Amino acid sequence: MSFIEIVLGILQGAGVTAEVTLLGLLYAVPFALVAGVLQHFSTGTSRWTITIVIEFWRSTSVLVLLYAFYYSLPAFGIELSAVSVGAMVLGMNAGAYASQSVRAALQSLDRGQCEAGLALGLDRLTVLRMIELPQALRNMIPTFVNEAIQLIKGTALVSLITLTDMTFRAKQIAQLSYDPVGIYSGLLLCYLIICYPVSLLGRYLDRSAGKAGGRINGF
Amino acid sequence: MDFDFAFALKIVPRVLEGVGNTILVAVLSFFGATLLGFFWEMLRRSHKVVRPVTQFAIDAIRSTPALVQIYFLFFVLPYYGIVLPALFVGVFGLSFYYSGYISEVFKAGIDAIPAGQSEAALSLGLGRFDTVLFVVAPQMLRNIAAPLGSYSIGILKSTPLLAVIAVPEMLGSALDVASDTYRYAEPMFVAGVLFLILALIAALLVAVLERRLGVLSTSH
Amino acid sequence: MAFEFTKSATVVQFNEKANSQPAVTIEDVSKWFGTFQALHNVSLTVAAGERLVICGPSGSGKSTLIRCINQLEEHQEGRIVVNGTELRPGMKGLANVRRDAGMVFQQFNLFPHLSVLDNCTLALRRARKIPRDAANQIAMEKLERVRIAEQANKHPRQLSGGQQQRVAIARALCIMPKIMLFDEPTSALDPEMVKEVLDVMTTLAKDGMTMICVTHEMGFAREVADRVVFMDKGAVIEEAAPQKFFSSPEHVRTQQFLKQLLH
Repeated sequence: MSFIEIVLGILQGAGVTAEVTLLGLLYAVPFALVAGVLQHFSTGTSRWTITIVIEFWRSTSVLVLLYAFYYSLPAFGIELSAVSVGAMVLGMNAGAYASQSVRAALQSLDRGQCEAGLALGLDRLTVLRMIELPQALRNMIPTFVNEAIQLIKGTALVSLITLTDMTFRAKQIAQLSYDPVGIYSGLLLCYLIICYPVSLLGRYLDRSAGKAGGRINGF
Repeated sequence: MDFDFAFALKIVPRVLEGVGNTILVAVLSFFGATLLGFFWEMLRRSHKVVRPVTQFAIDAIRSTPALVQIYFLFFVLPYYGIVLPALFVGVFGLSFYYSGYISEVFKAGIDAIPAGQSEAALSLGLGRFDTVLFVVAPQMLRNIAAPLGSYSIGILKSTPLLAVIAVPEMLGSALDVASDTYRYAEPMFVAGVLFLILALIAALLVAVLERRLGVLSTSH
Repeated sequence: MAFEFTKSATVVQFNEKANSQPAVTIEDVSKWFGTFQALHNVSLTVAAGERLVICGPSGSGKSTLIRCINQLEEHQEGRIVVNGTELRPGMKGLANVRRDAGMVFQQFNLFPHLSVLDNCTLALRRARKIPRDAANQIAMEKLERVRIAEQANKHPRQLSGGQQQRVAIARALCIMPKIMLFDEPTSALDPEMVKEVLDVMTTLAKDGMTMICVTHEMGFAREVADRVVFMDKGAVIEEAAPQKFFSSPEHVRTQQFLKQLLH
C-alpha cells in the first residue's frame, strides 16, 4: 500500500472521530458553563456538590473511565452505545477542565461591573448574562479551544471500545500489511492535519487575550 | 449480567498489583517530560532559525494523541531493530507527549519574569550563563511549580494508556483479571475507583508540596 | 551655593581630563525596530568626568540611545566606543565592556529573590570572582554611600521605591564602573521619593563620576549637568551648557518642549 492509500484508508475513520468530537462538545460546552457559573455563585453544601461532580470528571484517567462506563454500566442495567459512552466521558472530562476557566474568568472580573449593573436596577441573572459572561467569555475562549483539541485527540481512545475511528482504521490496516512506519506516520499526520490549525488558533487567541504578552527575556 | 460486589472486592488485591508500576511509570515520565520540555524551551530560545522549527515540533507533539504517539514508538522502533522493554517505550512516549506541554510551562515561567531582570544582570556584566542560573532560573522555579504539579497529576492519569502496549500497570492488571475471568464489569469498575483514589491522593500530595513551596517563597 | 561649588569643581576636573580619551564616543548611530527608525545618525561625545543630561519627549529615542551604550539594544549603523572599546553587536567580551558602565533603570530591576546585599554582590562574586567576604565589604561601602546600609539584609519588596532605586544605584556602583548610565531613574517614583534619589545622584556627580542621565528633572539638569542634550524623533536637536539651554534654547522644538515641561 502506498502512503496515500494508507492515509485515505485512515481517513475513512474520520467520520467517527468527528462524530464523537461533536457529540462530546455537546456535553462539554454546556457542562463547562453551567458548572463554572454554579461553582462561582453557590455556597455551602451546593458548592460542595458541584465541586465533587466537577472533580469526579477531572480526577480519573479518561481511559479508565471509558472502560469503566463501557463495561460496568451494563451490569447496573444501563445500556449505552459505544459512541454515547465515548462522547459523554470525553466531553464531560473536557467540560470539567473548561469549567475551571469559566469560574476563574468570572472571579477575575472587577466587582464594580456587577455592582454597576445592580445599581441600574438589573436583576442578578441579567447582570450575569448581559454584563459578566460576555466579558468573561474573552478570557475563557483560549481554554475552550485547548480543551477542544484535547477532546479531538481523546477520541483516539474510543478505538479501544470498538469504535472504527481513525486510530481503529490504522490498526486494521496494520493487520493487513506490515508497514508500521507508513501506517503510524500516516495516522500522526491525520491528527496533525486536524489539530494543528486548531492549535494555532488557540495560540493566537492566547496571545490576543494578553496572556503571552510582554517582552521576551533575551539571554 | 449482574454486578457482583463480592467478586469486585475479591479482585482488588490483584488489580492493585499494578500500582507499583503505575507510580514508577508516572514518576519516570514526569522527570523525562520535564527534562525534555526544558530542552525544547532552551532550543526555542536559542536561535532565530531554530525557533520556528522547534515551535512547529512542539505544536506537532501537542496536536497528536498520546495513544498514537505511544503506538508509533511501540511499533516503529522494532521495525528499525530497536527493541526496548514496553515499560521504557511507554515512559518515553509519555515523556515525549508531555514535554510539549511542559515546554510551554517553562516558556510562560520565563516570560513572566520582566525583561528588566535579565537586562539588569547583563548590564552588571554577568555572562549569559550566570544570568540564567542566578537571576532567571530562581524566579522561574517559583512560576513553574504550580503548573508542573498539575502536569504531574496529568501524567499519572495518562499511565493507563500503557496498558495498550502491555505494560503491567494498574489498568493492565485489571484487563488481565478480565480476560482470566471473562468478566469485565467488575475489574473495570475496580480500576476506575482505584485510579480515582490514587489521583486524589496525588492531588493532595501536590497541594501540600505547593503550599510548602509557597511558604518558602513568601518567607523572604 | 553648594551647587556653585560643585560646578566649579566640575570644570576643573573636566579640564584636567580633557586631553585623555573620551568616555563615550557615538558616531552616526542609527537603529531600527523593524521598519521604525528609533535613532537617526546620532553623534555625541562624552568626556571623562563629564555629566550629560539627555531630555526629550517620550519616544524621542533617548532611552534607546542610553541602552545602546550598554548594548542592551544593538545599533545597526555607526560606531559606539566606550572607554576605547568599540561595541559591536554580538561581540565577544561584551560582559567585560558592560562592567565599565553601571546602568540604573526606570523600574529599578532589583532581583526580587535576592537580598539587598546579594543584589549588590552577585556581579562581584560571579563575574569578578571576588570572595564573598570581600564582596560584602565592597557592597556595604556602596550601600553606605547611598545611605541605605541598614537595609542590607532586607528584600527589595520590603523597601520603598526611592530606597529600591538607591539600592539599584549602589548595585551599579559595585562593579566599579567608569561611567554611570541613568535611564529615567525617577520617573517611576512617587514625588516625595524623587529627592532622595536625586540627592544621591548629585553626590555622585560631585565626586567626579562620569554620568549620562536620561531624565526630565530639569532642576537636576540645571544644577549638575555640564551639558544638556535635547532629542526628538530619534535625533539630537540641540546640545548646550545648561545655562544657555534653559535661558535661550535655539531650536523651536526645544522651546516648545521646555514650555510644556514648565507648565
